[in-house]
Amino acid sequence: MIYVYAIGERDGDLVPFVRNGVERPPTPDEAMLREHDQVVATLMEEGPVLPMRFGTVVHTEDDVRELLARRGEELRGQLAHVRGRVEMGVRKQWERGPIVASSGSEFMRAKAERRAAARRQAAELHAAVEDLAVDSVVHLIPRDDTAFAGSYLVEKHDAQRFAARAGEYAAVTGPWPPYSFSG
Amino acid sequence: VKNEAAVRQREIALVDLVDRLLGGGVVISGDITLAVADVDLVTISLRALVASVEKVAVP
Repeated sequence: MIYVYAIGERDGDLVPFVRNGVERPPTPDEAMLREHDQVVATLMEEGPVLPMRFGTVVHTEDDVRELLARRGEELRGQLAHVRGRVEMGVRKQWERGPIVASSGSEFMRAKAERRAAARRQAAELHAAVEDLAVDSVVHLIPRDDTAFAGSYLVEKHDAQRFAARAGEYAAVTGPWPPYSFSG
Repeated sequence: VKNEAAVRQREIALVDLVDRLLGGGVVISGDITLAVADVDLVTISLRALVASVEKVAVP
């Protein structure tokens, strides 16, 4: 089997980066996730890459070529979008657990109130970094203990400035390969 | 307190890693298989790892 890490662009050509001779798909545990991430991050140092979803295994090189043939234009468009840019993660946790309510309407009201609070917090961060953001994806309340979590695509040279500004509002991670802007 | 902060940072980073790698990236529909079986993990140096990553020749 062939494990596919990423699709990159080198000298104008689409290039899949793979590992041959894989016996089985990887277990999604921390060590394997970090391995995938480190390989993709290293590949990114040499040129733009679109990471594959973790665990992507194909049987033959033809399967990879088929992907490029079928979605080549789309992948080139995404590569152009991420070239010279990095993904920065933002995550705002809060001290809230599951909603406790004695009726359906009370539950809905509490849920709406929470969502509004999360949206306000995400909007504050967004306003502070908007001029640095090329693109962004933010999810409100992905888990009970999290107000919002998301990703910003920024120019590589803006990564530190982004981290300093966004760090006033949320926990910041990155630079990451453009996982959230590859699909 | 310092340790708690470090653990928290690490947890946040792990959640971020999982969200990105299992929720993002290019998907080849139908060909994805996520194994659930336990696999013995072998630690390989990153240098060896990257050196063994190949490019597929595209005609």
